[in-house]
Amino acid sequence: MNFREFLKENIVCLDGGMGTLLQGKGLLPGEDPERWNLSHPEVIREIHRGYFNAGSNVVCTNTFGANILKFSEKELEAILTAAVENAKAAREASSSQKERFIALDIGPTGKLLKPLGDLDFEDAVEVFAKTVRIGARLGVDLVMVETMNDSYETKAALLAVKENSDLPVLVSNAYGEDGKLMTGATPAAMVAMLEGMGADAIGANCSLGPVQLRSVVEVLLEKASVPVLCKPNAGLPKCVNGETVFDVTVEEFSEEVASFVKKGVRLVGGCCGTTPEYISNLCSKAASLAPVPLKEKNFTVISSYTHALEFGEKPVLIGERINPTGKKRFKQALLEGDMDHILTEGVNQQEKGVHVLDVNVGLPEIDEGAMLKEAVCRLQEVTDLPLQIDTASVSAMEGALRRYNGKAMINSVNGKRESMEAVFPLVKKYGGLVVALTLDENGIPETAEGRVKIAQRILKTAEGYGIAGKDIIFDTLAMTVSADNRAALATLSSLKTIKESLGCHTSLGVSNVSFGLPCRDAVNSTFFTMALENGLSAAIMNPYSPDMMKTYYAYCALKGLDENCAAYVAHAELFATVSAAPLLQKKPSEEAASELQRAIIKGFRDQAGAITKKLLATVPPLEIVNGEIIPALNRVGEGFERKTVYLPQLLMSAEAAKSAFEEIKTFLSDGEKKEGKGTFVLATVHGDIHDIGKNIVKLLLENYGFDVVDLGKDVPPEKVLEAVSELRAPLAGLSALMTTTVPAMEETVRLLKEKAPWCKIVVGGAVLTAEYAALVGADHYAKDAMETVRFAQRIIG
Amino acid sequence: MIFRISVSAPPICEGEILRYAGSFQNDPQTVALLRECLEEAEGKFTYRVCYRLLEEDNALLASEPLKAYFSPCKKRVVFAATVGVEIDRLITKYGRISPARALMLQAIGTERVEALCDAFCQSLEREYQMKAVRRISPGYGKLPLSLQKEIFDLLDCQRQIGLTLGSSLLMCPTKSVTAFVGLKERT
Repeated sequence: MNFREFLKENIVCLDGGMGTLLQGKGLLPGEDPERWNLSHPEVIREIHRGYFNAGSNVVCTNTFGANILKFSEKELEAILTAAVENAKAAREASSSQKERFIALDIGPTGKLLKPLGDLDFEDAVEVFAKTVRIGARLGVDLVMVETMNDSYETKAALLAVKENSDLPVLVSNAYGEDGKLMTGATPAAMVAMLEGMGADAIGANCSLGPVQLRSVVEVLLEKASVPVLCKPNAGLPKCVNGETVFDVTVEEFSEEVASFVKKGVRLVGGCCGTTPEYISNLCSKAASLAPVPLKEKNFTVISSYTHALEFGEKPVLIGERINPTGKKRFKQALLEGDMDHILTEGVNQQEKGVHVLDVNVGLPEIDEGAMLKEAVCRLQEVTDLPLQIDTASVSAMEGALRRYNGKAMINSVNGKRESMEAVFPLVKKYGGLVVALTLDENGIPETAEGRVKIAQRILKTAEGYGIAGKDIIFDTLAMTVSADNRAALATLSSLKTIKESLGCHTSLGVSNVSFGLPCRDAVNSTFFTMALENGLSAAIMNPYSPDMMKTYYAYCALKGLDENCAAYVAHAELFATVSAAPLLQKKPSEEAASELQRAIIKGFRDQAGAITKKLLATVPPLEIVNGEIIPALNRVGEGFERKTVYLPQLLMSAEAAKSAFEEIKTFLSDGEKKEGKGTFVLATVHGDIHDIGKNIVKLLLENYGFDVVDLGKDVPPEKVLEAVSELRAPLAGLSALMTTTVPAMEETVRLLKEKAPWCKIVVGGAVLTAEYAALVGADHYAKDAMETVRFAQRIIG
Repeated sequence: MIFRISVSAPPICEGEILRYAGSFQNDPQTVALLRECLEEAEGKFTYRVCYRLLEEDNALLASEPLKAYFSPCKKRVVFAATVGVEIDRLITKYGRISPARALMLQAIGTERVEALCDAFCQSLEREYQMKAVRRISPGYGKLPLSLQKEIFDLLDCQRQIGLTLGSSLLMCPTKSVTAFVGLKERT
């Protein structure tokens, strides 16, 4: 019988701990257990056989850390071959009459993925892929991905298994005492992502004893449609008379884990501290239990790297602002590759209360695939909201979905055959909730019936790809009411039918309806209310519009979705007329400085922006820069150099100045791009992921009028050279914080000096000194950000 | 044997944080920024430590600086401590959009992990009724940074407390410490 068939009808007994047993057999602290497959095959076989004899249906190979980061390719191949041989030999030798399978065991790489760590997502996929390819060739029955404490790494591992084998795959995570993964994901978030990607079973193992894992297991059972697995530790290790003992006894362990089986867990075993004795006791208890039948759960859900978001009664708000359509400033940011502007839009919308961010960065002039991937990666550094990948390009969509750490919303598919053939395979492979537009080859039907018919066809086609109706959300297309006064009605009536007769969720880009009309907010928010009453589940909308947010909070309060009207009351300030930011009181000593100067000196970011906006109505931009912003910055900068102003104050002022500059930029974005002083290429060197210092330098340089091209952190020397050469940049700044990354700095300097000799190089970072800087061949060492500015001014000021 | 413990949050020292942020004269705006950052970071820390007692014959102890450090000690402990990944997320978030906040959050993270190490060393003192000598870490003084690899192998840091070592020996989460601490008889 193959494993998938066995899993359908049976409770599956897994094995128990390996590492703790090996220590008992003489494995030294710090020694690699995987090498014992070769050096002590008899010990490994004995342990595997012990588990088979105890009643395990599945034994995991001793390959937890067997990957190319730890071993050479040759040794990896030898280890995996021996490990699978050992498991097969144990299966042969065991006296058990049960169904017995061998799982290729895959643990974490031991590295953290970017952006938190230094391992690239695709590199992680390749690390796992190497192990999977060898394992699959050796004839294992299934793959067990286990003890993963990061959702992104879990995704990389599952993707590698799926792309390199057809084997069944169990995916198990290590949850902490707080019920989350180390990098923050909840069990519900993991179910959303892993089920979307096609894991055969999902579960929890290691880190905690069975009692502490109970709440995690309950969530997994509630949310997952696939079988749930659980492999807890035998509690925590304790030292008793010089011996290591675990604090959960055999009886306590099997009692508790058997109670999970009664609740519906289908695969059980043990992790650290468990032995064949634990497993034997557990297996005999499980043998008397009937498997609880699997039940398909009907949740429409998406997730980020921290949480899952379910669609239900409460409307979901999708922020529409990351989109160049009709936004000059945003277009300009895209053309300039100004990622910070995009990120700020993300953070601001989250602060306004949206639940999902739509991400659309399509412009004919740019490489949309590269930009979308970059935007999705960077947004995941600054916000934990789920994202809606919004693009008409299938390749851009795939690039973004691959890098997305969770189950994304996908915008969009439609009733055209070509669209479905392109998009549905991606939904199937990466998971996702796909927005389906009710249009087809013949355009958008005018009637509700026509749109519902397309929806039915989309559902049927999706089913053929193995995509359930719960993973499709219909957009019945809000058309402009000024062009057709029945347009809104058709949209609303199709919403209602789809919700009621097809049982699917719905979404609308609300703002389209008012196109061409004055006071659009009034039309949008009224239409929003009507749509909600007709069963709208989610709205793509502008969260900066107080009318829209008012409607949302009022609707929730009136629908009984806001207990004690708490959210409504908390946001009541929205409903007051928005007044201009309060201006500062003048102090006699600061009489000479203008309001704007004082706001910058004091570091009041919002005021600096608001005052600049006001000034722009009457004062030419250049006059504001030279007469207000620069003098204020100079005062703070000089104070910093004299040590009367300290770093946090300097930065707050710089940020206030930046917000003033941002207003000026918005004002000017119609006109010509102003000539900067010259380009400054900035990077944290290869291998280093510290970038606070570099970001500070960037902020100050921008304030002083330099065009800064920020290459980010962990930047290879060739990339720095490429940017410097392409822009013929007169200046480059390199930052390194670790002694181990100074060689990378030296290498970068050497390459620049050789291939781009015109470029002056300034270096900085915690471990550097002037002597060290000279040693690596840099032109200048700057002890802080102000000194970098001064150096830059000397060179091209 | 490796032990793993979770420690309750040690008290916050604002003065230390400001010092780490490079602020030596605290104007109201800086303090306001500190308070806002503390509020945002609240609840974002996990205080985890894993450690093991080193036997006298452990290969690590052959290194001269460690031999010298532990010479007056009766117990030899190697440990790894981390306050988790959430503070790194906050620092990264504001690194792009508000370096002032990033700087302050960075300082808060440093203060938190140092406070965690202090609390852990005090708990060792209580447990063994001994005095802890000031802890030392790889990369400081005469201890080479390359010792990190051995420490990570010994403590199984990723599995125990979710701490990983990058290829340039950089720890992730970054607000983490590995250190040796010796315990000697109280005099």
